[in-house]
Amino acid sequence: MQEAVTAVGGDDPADGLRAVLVLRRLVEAVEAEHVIRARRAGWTWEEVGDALGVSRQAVHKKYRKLT
Amino acid sequence: MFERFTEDVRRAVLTAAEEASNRRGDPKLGTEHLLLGSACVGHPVTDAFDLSPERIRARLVEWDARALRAVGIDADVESLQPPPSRKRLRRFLPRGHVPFNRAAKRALQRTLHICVAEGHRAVTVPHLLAALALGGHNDPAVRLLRSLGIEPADLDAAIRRSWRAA
Repeated sequence: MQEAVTAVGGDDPADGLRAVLVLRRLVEAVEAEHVIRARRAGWTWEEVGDALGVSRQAVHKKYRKLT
Repeated sequence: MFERFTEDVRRAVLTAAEEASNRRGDPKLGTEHLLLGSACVGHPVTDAFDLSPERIRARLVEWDARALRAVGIDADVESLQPPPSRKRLRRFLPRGHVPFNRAAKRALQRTLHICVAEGHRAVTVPHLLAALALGGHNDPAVRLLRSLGIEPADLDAAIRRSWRAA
């Protein structure tokens, strides 16, 4: 992990900054996929929120329309 | 601001928005998308510089892969895009109306200024390209042009020459 953080940039800040954006997009896609799976498997919003380290309300607000 | 924009340049901007949201899932419309939109619409000047949508898209995908490698991740960038069939996943990703970032807004303002300064009545794709070519050193469209072997000043000069010739 430390390697990933310090490897940032090499020579070009554009690469490191763009990496942040691409990773953010990946995180959103992975999160959505797995929240949906968990809900289908009968997880409660509280369980999903706890697993993600956020509140039940936060996860419900973001995903209620999808599941 | 858009009253003077011709159909072509409007289509370039709309295509830029589609490319930003659907294909790349970028949160904002930037100058790189405007350049891609212009190339999609096409014009003799983009042909002359071999500025094709395919080349630009390929370069943007390469950049994303290089960016991830720079932080130690070797991934297939295309696979990180939301699969088009998964409508529910796409709901989270910005789509449809993508806001312009500051550089893209400024580029559109410059587009209009160039048109007015040249004494032209209508804004066309070359005005947009000339505006994009005038971006700063770190501007994504400028970087994109340079990485495709096109010096922005040469593109600008070619466009202005075509106006003189007309």
